[in-house]
Amino acid sequence: VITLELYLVEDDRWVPARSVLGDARSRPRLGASALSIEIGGTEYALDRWNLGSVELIGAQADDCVQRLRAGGPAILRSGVRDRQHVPFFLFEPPHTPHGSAHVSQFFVDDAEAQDWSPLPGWGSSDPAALFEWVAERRDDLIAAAADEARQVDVPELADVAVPFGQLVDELERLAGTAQAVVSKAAKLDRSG
Amino acid sequence: MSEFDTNVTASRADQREQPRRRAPSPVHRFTVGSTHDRAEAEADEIARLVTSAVDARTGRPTGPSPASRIRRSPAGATAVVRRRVQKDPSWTTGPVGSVTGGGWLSWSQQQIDEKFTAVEQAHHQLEQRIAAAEGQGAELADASPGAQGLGAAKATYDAWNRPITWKEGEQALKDINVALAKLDGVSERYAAQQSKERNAWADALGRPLAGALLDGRYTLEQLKDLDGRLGQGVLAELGRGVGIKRINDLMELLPTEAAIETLAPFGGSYLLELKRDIPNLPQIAKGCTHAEVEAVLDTVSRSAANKLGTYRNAKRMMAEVITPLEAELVELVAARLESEQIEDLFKTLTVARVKVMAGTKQDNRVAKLYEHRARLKSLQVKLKPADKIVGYWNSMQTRWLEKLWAGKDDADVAKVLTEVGVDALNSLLPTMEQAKLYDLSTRLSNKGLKGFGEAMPGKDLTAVTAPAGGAGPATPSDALLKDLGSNHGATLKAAAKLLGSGIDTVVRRCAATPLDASKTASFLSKAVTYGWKNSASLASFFDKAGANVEARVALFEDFGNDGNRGTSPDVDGESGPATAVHECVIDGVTWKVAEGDVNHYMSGHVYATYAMTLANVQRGTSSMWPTGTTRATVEQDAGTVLGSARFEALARAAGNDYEAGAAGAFRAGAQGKLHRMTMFHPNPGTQLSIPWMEAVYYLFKSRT
Repeated sequence: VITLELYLVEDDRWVPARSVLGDARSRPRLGASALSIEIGGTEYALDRWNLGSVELIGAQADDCVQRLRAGGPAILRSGVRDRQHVPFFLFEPPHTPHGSAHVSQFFVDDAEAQDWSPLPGWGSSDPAALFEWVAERRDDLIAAAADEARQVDVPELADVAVPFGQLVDELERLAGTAQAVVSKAAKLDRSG
Repeated sequence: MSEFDTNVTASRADQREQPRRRAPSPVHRFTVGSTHDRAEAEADEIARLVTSAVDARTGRPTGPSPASRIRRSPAGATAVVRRRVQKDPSWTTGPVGSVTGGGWLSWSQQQIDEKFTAVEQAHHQLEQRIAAAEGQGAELADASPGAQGLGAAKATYDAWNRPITWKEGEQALKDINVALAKLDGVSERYAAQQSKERNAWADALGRPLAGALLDGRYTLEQLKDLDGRLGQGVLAELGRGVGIKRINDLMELLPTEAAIETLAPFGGSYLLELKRDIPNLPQIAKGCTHAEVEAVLDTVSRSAANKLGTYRNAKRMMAEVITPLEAELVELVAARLESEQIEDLFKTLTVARVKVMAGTKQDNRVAKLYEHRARLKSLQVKLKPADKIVGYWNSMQTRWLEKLWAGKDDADVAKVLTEVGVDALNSLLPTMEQAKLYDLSTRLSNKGLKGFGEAMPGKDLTAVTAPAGGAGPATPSDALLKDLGSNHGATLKAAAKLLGSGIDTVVRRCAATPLDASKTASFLSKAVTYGWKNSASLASFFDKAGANVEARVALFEDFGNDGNRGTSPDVDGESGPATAVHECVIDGVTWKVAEGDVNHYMSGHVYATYAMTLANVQRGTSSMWPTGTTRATVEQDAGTVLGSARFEALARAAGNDYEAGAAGAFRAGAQGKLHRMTMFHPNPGTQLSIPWMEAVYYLFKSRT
């Protein structure tokens, strides 16, 4: 079972986006977000990474859904663009008709590639460049991230199997939540 | 007080919506028409009685203006004078003129009201039945039993359509009931209608009204109509005869909204009847005011808990009862729950839910439950067997543990751990994740540690080693303690004054690192200098710093020496004032470095103004300008890059989107939507990774 939950910052604490959405008085901050990736009861990402722009996370989640449904891998990059060593999440469809999808995390330390985005218009180069670059180094990138996770004693998000349908559903839900947050912020901005 | 009497009655009667009579049949007219003069005379008589009524308490004449007591239709030959049975001035509270067993009986205002209301309602019902029967008039022969019955009924109606005395009340009710009986059989259709209404009363007395509702014999509209015709309180009275089982049937068979809407006419009385029906509370709550629900809960108290206790399937209880409730109602319920019920609630929680609970605002409902700390403590004690504890423990994140221990002193913690039992702790220790156990141990003072240790024969906390990357607590060696005591007594004393019992934690954490007595004293001295007083945050610092305590402290000082006080705001990119600091024109378009952009650079890459928030720290590895860099320097560098050929290339590549890349000794980002250089920092600059900055963050946090 996989659960993807979007978190936002409130008073320097991570709180679920849905609680912000459910609180009329809460004004979402769109420049900071975190993602809880829970697979089989293990939490992988929350509390360690600020993934930045909510809008960008939502747009990427939506792109991931399209790519996975089309049978290809999908990448979700941290929405933070002014820092080095930010996380990328790799979602891969099943290799066999009834197999599992897989979720992994990796980092890009290459000076040029670290700016690349899976979405056009959000960084350097065409998204295809990022996918090609990752495909060539997939195993090494994931292994390096796993090593790093072990060093800081956090669960390794490396080739973790998940039901494909659930993965797509959760990404879709994530995109929807992000969109709702952006909409709420816009509405509050309009109302002053 | 006597205001309840004629005046009030008249006023109340006026306020009630009166059904219009049907147009009179040629045979049995009931409108005033030719009797107008007589009616007016009666009205005048009533008015006289009313205005002459005297308040029994004040002795003053009572009553509002006559217009509110007698309502006449607009002038016209067929206008109906609305007359209702009225109390005469004898209907006042006071001693009854009889003695029972030597004691005076008093009849209360309520008794008077009830009696008069019964007469009034019966009279009103008779009026309605007459009007209904007149609707059938065309079908009745004058000499038919039906017509005769109708005539008699009308006579009775008229006879009691006047002020009546207290003594007359019984007789009036009797006569009216006889008249109602005489209306039976006026016509087949009328009989059918009458029968239906009688059945309604029969339902109230015998069969549950809910059954009638379920059988579809009453639509919601009919129910509302019935409510309006019978007057306030009658349906509520009926509701008391319904019974819980039927309510449950109703709830199960009807969609929630429909059930609530259907039950709404019953009002608060119905709620009281439902007081033991807590599982339906969410539905009930939707249809009632907060005050009404609170009143019910106040009434039920322990019964509610017992009812919840009957839920064998706690998950179901959570899903059906607690989850649907609004947060404030959960609080109301929780305040009335016994610890067993709260425990049941928590048994239903999945790992995911525990995590959801970790933030106070993540689930308001559960957060409300957690406000009942005393019961939570009880819950902790009761969390047996050990594997359950371990399961919970290992599923908890650090912040959740912080919340768990918040507000509890170490003695409490030790007591809880002791009460969990030795066997449980023995099971707990080897199976608990190292980091969690470590986290627990850092939260215990000497006393807590002692309690913890005593509860675990054969084990002590020196066996607890640091998790990877962290420095776990250790029992300071005698040599270290002796050295600290002999050579750094003043520092120890000052640190103890600042940290309180937390000094023990800090010394233990230092003892688990390469710090010797001198360096430990140096750390404690800096704690005093910089005000690191929160031992929990210091524990988190040691977690992040691992063996690199001195290096992280030095990094903290880099920030502090540059003037960072940990209060700089966290500024997101593409935010803040758009006022230009620098501008350049590229292909006819003006690009700029805005004031908000500089704020953003400063909050993420400059020592003096780096925002000491977790959100900022956790963005990724920070590329820092050298220490001592000022805003003026950053602005100057930004202006240089903005005007460079490299940025020009980035801007062209961005178009209406975003493009980022290296620009000499910097990295820059061109946001085409805003025409601003929204990203800018040294490349590579001083690289500060998240764990490093987290350690620094916790040192800043320990000052608060």
